[in-house]
Amino acid sequence: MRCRHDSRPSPPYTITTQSPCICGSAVPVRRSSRLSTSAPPTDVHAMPPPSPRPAPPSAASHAALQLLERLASGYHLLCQYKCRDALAVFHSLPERQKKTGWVLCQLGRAHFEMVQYAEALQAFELALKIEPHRLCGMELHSTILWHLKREVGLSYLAKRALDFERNSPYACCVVGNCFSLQKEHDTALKFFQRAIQLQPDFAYAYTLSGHEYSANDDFEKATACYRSAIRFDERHYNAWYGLGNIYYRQEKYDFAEQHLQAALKINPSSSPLYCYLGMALHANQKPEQALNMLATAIDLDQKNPLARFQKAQVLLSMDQHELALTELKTLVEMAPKEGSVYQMLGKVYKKLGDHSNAMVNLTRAMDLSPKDAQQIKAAINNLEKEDNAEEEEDL
Amino acid sequence: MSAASHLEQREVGDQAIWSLSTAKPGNGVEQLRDDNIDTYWQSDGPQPHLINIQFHKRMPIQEISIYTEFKLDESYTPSKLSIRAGTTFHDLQEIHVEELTEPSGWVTILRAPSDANAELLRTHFIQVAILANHQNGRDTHIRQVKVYTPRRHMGQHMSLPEFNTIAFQQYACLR
Repeated sequence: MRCRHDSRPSPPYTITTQSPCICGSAVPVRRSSRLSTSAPPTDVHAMPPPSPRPAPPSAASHAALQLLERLASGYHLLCQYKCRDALAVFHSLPERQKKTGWVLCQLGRAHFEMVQYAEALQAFELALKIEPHRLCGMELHSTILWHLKREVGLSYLAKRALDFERNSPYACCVVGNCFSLQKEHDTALKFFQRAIQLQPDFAYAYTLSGHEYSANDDFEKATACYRSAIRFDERHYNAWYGLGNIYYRQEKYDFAEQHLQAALKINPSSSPLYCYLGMALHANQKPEQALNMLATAIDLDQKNPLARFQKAQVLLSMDQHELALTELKTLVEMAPKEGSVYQMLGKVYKKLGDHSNAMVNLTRAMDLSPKDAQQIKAAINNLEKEDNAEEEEDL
Repeated sequence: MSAASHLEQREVGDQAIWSLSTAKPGNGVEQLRDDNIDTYWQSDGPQPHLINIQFHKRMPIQEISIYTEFKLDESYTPSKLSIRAGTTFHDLQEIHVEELTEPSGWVTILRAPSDANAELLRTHFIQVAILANHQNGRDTHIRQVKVYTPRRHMGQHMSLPEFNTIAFQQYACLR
């Protein structure tokens, strides 16, 4: 038995209710049968139904069952988004089992959920090398490349997927992601819609369509897409997050809060989700709760720069300038090339009355993000005006 | 339209409510907006002929383009257009008058200010009035109308500023 979308000579698409991830689990079954060298290769489906008094299991089948149990528990943990535990289970597998496409894809997914895109990419690249025919999971691979803005890698993957199997919903998602990275949102949408046509219960394709509509500011259609995704997979937290994002942008902060909380209920170990919830709470005039959420976000992932950035923003709005300054100073060390950080530093220094440092940081911001030049220039001009006014007063 | 400008702007006509002063049956709004340059809107009444484009929210407008074909439409081709903006029918103000001579293909009838720092037109309601046709024609043919908004104001996740390092961008959105 093989994964449904794995191989080229797959039959024309029959729509089943089987979820795409579960069908991938068929591969280790095949592998495990190879392990049992003494016993004849067992096919799960050909096995006789269990008799009331089972024969004592042979050593080989015992080993196979143990392996399956471990794979299943890893997958179970991953589905509960206990990514760290899942990773530990998958890493405890024997070396030759770890080097299978399915396990590598699960490893990649676990890293992906923890925003460790570099590690996730490594796992997926290895999976692609070992099992180039595995299309199931490629959609996540492409999303990782999208996050890392690897245009060339993503184009290559898209070309490869399309050449291999045009009728795979996963391949369509890869191509859609590729166009999305090029900011061709309308073309990307066409491919995501095609993926939905090929597999009408593919929740992730709905979510990706939602993201594209949202990028085009078409909130109504985006909401419909996210809702469809949730209809097919209630535990698809990305769609809940998408809805939260849309309500946030529409300034309906109560709804945003509610939807982000729903996403967090599904995936309670996601640092970015806590960060977004913190932003929604802050926008909803609940700075204390927002700070709590942002602290959790930072606890979960020390490397989350956005959470620190937002924490500084909340502190700034609460007039705790000194605390904001310490937070931003840590942040500058983590992300020394980010213009927005310097821009905020400039703001904080200005509030503290340290105009020379404010000017230094604003000019740095100007160098790093020329796109916001207008805004930064205005801030610098304001600063100069105030300086001049003060000098006149002194005279 | 060049590829670059295509990335910087977005067509928002489908978010608006369209109406026309007059139309011959079977040559109305649908033909004006069907992305097909072989069909057209034909007015059926006295001048000026009006196209009303009403948005639900105040929309920044970068460009308005129309498609006309002088070779086929001859005296039906518009020669003088006025573009008016406001909040409803009652407070429209003329913002631009465009004169055309034998246009063929896409013509931009309203452009963004050339100064990048200038404020864009933001409005609920846009009216395109056809004041005169070529060869003193009475009714008019317009094959397509497109309304563009700039892209830079939009599509931001959680209304965050645009970060310029990948380390930041990774956390700025989920997918």
